Amino acid sequence: MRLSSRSYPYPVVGNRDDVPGAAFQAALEMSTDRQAVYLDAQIKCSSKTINDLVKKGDACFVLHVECSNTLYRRAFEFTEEDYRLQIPSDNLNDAVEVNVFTRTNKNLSGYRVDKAHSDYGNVSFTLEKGDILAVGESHVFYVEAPFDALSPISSIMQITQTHKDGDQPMQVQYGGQKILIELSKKDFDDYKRLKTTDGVSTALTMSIVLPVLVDAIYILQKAEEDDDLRWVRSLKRRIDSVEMKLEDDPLEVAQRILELPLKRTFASARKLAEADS
Amino acid sequence: MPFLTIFRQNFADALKNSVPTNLPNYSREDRWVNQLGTRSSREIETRVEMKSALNLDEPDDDNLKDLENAIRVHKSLQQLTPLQARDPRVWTRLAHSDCWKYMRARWPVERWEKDGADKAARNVVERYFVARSDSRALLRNGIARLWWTAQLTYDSTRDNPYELTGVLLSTLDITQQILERNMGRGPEILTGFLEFLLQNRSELLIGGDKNRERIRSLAKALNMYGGVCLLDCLSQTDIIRVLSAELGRILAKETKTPQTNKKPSKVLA
Repeated sequence: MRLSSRSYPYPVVGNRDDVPGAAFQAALEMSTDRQAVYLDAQIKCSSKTINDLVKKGDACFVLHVECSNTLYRRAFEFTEEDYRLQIPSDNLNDAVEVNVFTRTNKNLSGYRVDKAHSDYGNVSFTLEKGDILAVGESHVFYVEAPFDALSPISSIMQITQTHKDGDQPMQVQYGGQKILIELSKKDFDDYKRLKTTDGVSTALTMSIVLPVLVDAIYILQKAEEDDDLRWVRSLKRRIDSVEMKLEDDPLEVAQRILELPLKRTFASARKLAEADS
Repeated sequence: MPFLTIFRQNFADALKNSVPTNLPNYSREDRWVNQLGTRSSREIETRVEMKSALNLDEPDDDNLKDLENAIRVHKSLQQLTPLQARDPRVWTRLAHSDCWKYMRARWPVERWEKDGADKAARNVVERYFVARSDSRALLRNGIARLWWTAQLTYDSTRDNPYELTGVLLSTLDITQQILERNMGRGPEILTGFLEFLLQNRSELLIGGDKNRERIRSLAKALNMYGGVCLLDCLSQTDIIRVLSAELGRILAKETKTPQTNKKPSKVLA
């Protein structure tokens, strides 16, 4: 919900100069982990009228979260000044717009706001349940999907060629945001050529991705890499998503994540054999 | 059951960029896209299981079959998360491959070609791809719109959990009036609006232009009401109460100024 500065039919704290003697602010911080996006809100309201209404239970604070990318729109009500909201991470992606309000919980008659603009004089107002009493500044956060929610595990790995000449064994670096797999120049050329060939890509997964994934899970078990690295966060999520635990056997976990690559390799090989015969 | 297959990003991008040159292919009855490149250069298999094959009904003169097909797509892909279901690679492939026959019947390119190749290409992009990252684009793709309308209106507490999906899809205009406004993404707002239409079927759902105008006025009024009131904090009952009051005003206005199809007779000076 994009909040433009607007004229309400009654004074609203935080809107233009409706109530110059009071402020409504919300400090917002967003953080994420494997399961959820967290929004921490700290409300600071200097309007006695609003604070009294919230204390009495006649009004509440509202955290309004909207993500156009995933058609997500929800309002969360609370009365504490410090509030933590948790949203499952597969509900949000890209720009997330967050607005904070105070709204009435019931119809109010004779409503007047302390320190309202003098133009309002002694006029009082009749408000209905849900009417906005105070508005904070809009915030936009960007939520980055921790991994490609549909792609196989390759999204956390990058295959490249080594600068060394001649035949070289595959080498792996785990210190970056993605796991970097280095192949010899000749192997890399073959990889580029064969990875889009029907029936071969699964076999490549078996021979390149599976051993690296097993190794990466060992590294996580030994806690040698922290959550600052994107591949670490992604891999932990993947382990959760196949309903296994980090301490389980790495070879089994890796095969579950890759959806039983041996079985798929045999299926591809059968197709190739049948096509040749 | 098979796993959901999606296009590779590079392939989906290239296909979208090639629409103007590929335009004649959109008149073909065969799944021509399957002849482009090798299978593994074109698509990847995900780990999302499809609960049933996507054999969609083709529309006929009397029935677009949107409801039947929305239920079918939603039931088949019930495991999709919102994050997965907003991915253009899913819907672009389904529109070009699994559901090609349905797309040809429901969104034939010939419909737009009479207005020129540019317009036809724009409409192909809109209906066969997900043109942009916003929600409106998602609701325009021929297959994504079926899944999302079912997803947003599914109510497991009803005898028929897809009852409100039927209301939403009863005319394209309702979808545009409510879902393409931001407020339509609020679950209580959307279901409240649709439940109200259902409760007032004879005044709002059955009939022609008059009822369409009423629905437009109701959506506009609710949107304006949301200017001062946080609609998202209202219950479905509250939303229905607001709409009832507005419908009363609309009907009273119509009684005061009866509309007539007769042309006004000339007044002689």
